[in-house]
Parts: sequence; structure tokens; C-alpha cells
Amino acid sequence: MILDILTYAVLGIMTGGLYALLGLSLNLIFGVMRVINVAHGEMLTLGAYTAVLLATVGIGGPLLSVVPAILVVTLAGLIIARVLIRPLTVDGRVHEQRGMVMSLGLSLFLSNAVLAIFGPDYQRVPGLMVRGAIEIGDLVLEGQRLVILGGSLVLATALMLFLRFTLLGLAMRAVAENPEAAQANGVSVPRIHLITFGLGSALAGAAGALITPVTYAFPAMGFTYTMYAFITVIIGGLGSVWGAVLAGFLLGIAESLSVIWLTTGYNAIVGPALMLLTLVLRPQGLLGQRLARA
Amino acid sequence: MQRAKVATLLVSALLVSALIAPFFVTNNFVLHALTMSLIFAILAASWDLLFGFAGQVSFGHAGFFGLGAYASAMLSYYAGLSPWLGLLAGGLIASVFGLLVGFPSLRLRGVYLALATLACSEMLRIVVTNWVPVTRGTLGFNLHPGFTFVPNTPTTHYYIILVGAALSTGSMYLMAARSRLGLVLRALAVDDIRAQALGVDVFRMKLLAFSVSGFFAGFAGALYAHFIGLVTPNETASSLTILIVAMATIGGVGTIIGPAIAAIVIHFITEMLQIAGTVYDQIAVGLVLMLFVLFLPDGIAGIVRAKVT
Repeated sequence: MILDILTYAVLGIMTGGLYALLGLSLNLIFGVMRVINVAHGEMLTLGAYTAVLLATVGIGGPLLSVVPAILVVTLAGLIIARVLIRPLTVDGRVHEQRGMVMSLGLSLFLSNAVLAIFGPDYQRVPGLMVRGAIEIGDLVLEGQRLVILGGSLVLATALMLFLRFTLLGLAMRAVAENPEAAQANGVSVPRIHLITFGLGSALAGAAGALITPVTYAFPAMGFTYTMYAFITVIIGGLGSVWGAVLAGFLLGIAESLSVIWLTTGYNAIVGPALMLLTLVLRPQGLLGQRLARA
Repeated sequence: MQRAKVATLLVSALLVSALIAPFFVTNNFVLHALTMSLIFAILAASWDLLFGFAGQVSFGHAGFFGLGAYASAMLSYYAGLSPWLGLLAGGLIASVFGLLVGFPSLRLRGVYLALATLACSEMLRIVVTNWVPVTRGTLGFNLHPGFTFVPNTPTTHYYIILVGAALSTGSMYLMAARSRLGLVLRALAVDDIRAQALGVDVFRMKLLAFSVSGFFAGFAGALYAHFIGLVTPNETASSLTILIVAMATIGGVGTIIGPAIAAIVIHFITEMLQIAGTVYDQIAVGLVLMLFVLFLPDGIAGIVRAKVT
């Protein structure tokens, strides 16, 4: 029993890294641009399919495909931000409802475009990123999943260092805080929006390329991950970077542990239930500021 | 005044052509597509009642629709309830769910409320998929023959659902655009704190809007269940909500009639595209939605309004 709990908790931590990365990137976009990006999961889909495409052509191994996936999704993110979101921006603020509905349309478009191009089959990147596993007593840590966890953590840390210590990161935080004041101090808000959306999308795309050797890619996968990203963000607090990381791991562990007590299939309810509970009891999330009611 | 005249003319022309349509449409597939379009009209109008008038964003309409379909299907499957009563029961049960879903609206707004409704709808989907002893899981319910007392032909189904759609959208229109209740709801959407100060019981009105919207979406679900004769967890998938939002936005929110007409047109065209054997129909809906948000954010109704006034 204890070993069960430990095993599932460790598995949860490994999935949690992925949720944290997704939540973090969605939160970055929301925090700076105030856009609820329902198409965030589709950015992950694009990353995953880029990796699959490269693998089927025979270029690069599972690990190498992460880099081109990031490039492709960054480009997609920049185009989306420039063509679809900038026209909805007035005085440095994106129209809340239109931004949301726009991303709904984008999500519908992208997931079905992937379906039209790649077909409905489940696909994956063949081969392993790393072989073997680490065994600590009876506890087995798969090398593959450790790579995903490590990759997520590296990316999350890099993002935080970037936001904290670079001038560009400072400008992004300024726009998040107050677009008018940032603009008055010489920050180009449209440019920051562009960079933010590209960066957030890139992280989601990286997540997609990281997971395809372990899980399958299929055209409708995006929505599930969008859902997880939102759950993470709400539990952690909209706009809070650390909150997303914390919530990502909490969600991963809670969902994984629930397998012990809930019948298979029902464990999917843990995420939405935790989100609803958070929304009702503490709308600002674990580490969010009190702006939920505004 | 003139705007109202144009609208009346348009709606009556539409009703007349809807009434005589089966005399010209001899192809059962086309008639089926038309019937489904009418179900979507109810859904889009019910979403608009909540968003366009009361200002409450729902991402949970697939849940209302699915619950109405399941409630009605299970009542006739397990209890042998008449499908006719099942239509009402489906609506009523969905409206109770609407009350529950609307409850967080006491504290939450905008995005937060949208996500809360999405969570409710997703939880419903997960329960419906996994509670096999009660919901039969992915098998779903097979309901035959659809409606009692009438011959179950495509034409009668069409007329039954036409009457249902006309009554639903008509009453939603009267309620939202032509009654004091509608005015109160619009006051909520504009500024609910001021509405509260003016003596509106804001929380009760929001709950009312959620339950009425839920009722009609559930009613549409029950119509669907007895028309198609099969209810599965697919009916609760959130992709349905995206379609509803798209239809309402393209039609023009805040008009009830606009979303209903847009739903009919969009669903009919996508069904016809399926004859061509493509998956491009959903791509097209997504694309059209994005174009509308970019260039015509007030939807078709916005163009009509601008032309007339």
C-alpha cells in the first residue's frame, strides 16, 4: 500500500511537470495579454505532430525533434498573435470576449486541420528518448518520464529566470502590471504581446514534442490539454507563475493517487472537480492576487 | 419601427418556407439535415439568452444538451415514460442542472464563470461515460420507435421539431427582447452592481437566466434523443459548446433570432459539405468564426441593423 502510494505519487510528479509547463505558458499569455487562449492545447498538438512528422520522414531522434517543434510552434504563435489577436487589441488591451471567441474558432480550425492532414489515427514518435530506468528499492523511475520531467523543469526555470532578470522579461512584467504605464515608459506593448504569445506557444509546443514518444498524438488531443492547462492555472491562480508550477504538481499527484481509490476512468474527474472547488472556495487560486471578482 | 418591420417580415418568410419545405425536399438526407439544424437553432438561441442578454458566459451548454438527452432517454428506457413527457422532463432536469451550474455566478464573472461551467459540463461527461450500470457507458441508449401516437417518418419528425424550435426560440425572444424580464437581464449584463442598487435581485435573476437557458438546451437535447434514437456520451462533448458559441457569434449575440438563423444555415451547410465526404466542414466553421470576430464582431444581425437604421 505504502509502495503503491509512493509509486503513484512519483508518477504524479512526472505528469505534474507537464501540467506545470502547460499551466505556466498559458498563464504567461493570460498574465501579460489578458487573453483566455482556448487554443493553447492546439499549440501542443502542433508541437506533437511536428515531432511525429520529422520522425516519419526519418530526421532526428525523439530528443532532437524538440528543437524544430519549438521553432514551428513559435512561428505559428507569432502569426496568430500578429494576424488574429492584434486586431482585437485597443489601447494595449485585448478585447476579453472577442479574444476568447477567437481562440475558440482557432481551436476548432487547428484541431480539424490536423485531422484533415494527418487523419484520425493515433501516432507517436517511434523509439525512446533514453533507455532504461532508475530503480530505488522497489520504486522504478522510467528514464523516458524523467526526461519529460527534467525538460519541463528546465524550461520552467528558464522562463522564470528570463522574466526575473532580463530587460525583456521586465518589460513583459510591466505590460502585465499596467499596459498604459508600460507604454508611457517606452515599452512597445504590441511587440511585447507578440513576443509573449510566441513564447507561451513555444513552451506548449515543446511540451507536445516532449510527450509524443510516451503518449500518442491524435487530432483532438489539444482540448484535453487545454483543459488541464486551465485547471492548473485556476488552482494556482490566474497570472501567478509560481502558482502554476505548484498547482501543476499538486494536480499531477492528486490525479495519479486517485487511481488507488477511484475506479478507472473516474480519475479524470479529479481535475475538473478541483478546479470547480477552487473557483467556488478561493477564486483567486492558491497564490493568485485578489482580482477574480473584477 | 422599421427595424422591427424588417425583422417580422424576415421571420415570417422563414417560417412559411420552413412549413412548406418538406413538400419540396424529397431527399431524406436533406430533410434530416434540416431537422438537425432546427435543434441547433434552439441551442444557439438558448446560449444567446444567457450571454447576449444576461451577460453570463457559459462554456457548459454541451452539458445541458447532453443531460436533457440522457434524462429523457433514461426515463423512457427505464420507466417507460412517454417521449412527449420526456421532452418536458429533459428540459426541467437540465434547468435544475442550470441552477446548480449558475450557482457559482454569485461570486464569479466572465472567464472564471465560463471555466466553472466548463468544469461542470466536463464532470457530467466523465460520469456519463463511466457510470456504466446506470448510463450504459459508451453504449448509450437506443430508443425506438422515436415518438408515440404519430407515424415515425422523417416528415413528422421534421414538423415536431419545427414546432418545438419555433415555440422555444419564439418564447425566448419574447422573454428576452420584449418583456420587463429581458430589460432586467440586460441591466445585469451592463452593470450588475448598479442593477443591484436599483433594486434588482441580481443573484436570483442570474439563476433564473441559467435555469431558463438550461431548460431550452435540455429540451433540445430531449428532442434530439427521440429524433435520432441514440444517445451516447458524445452528446456531452465540449466541442458541441464551441459550435454553439460559433453559431451565436456569427448570427449576432443579443438578438436570439440571429443566432437561431445562423445555427440553421451553418449546420445545414456543414451537413451538405459532408455529402462531399470531407472533414473540411469544421475547419470552415472555425475559419468563418475567426473572420467574423475580426471583421464583423456583431455578426449577421449587426450588418442587418446597420443596413436598416
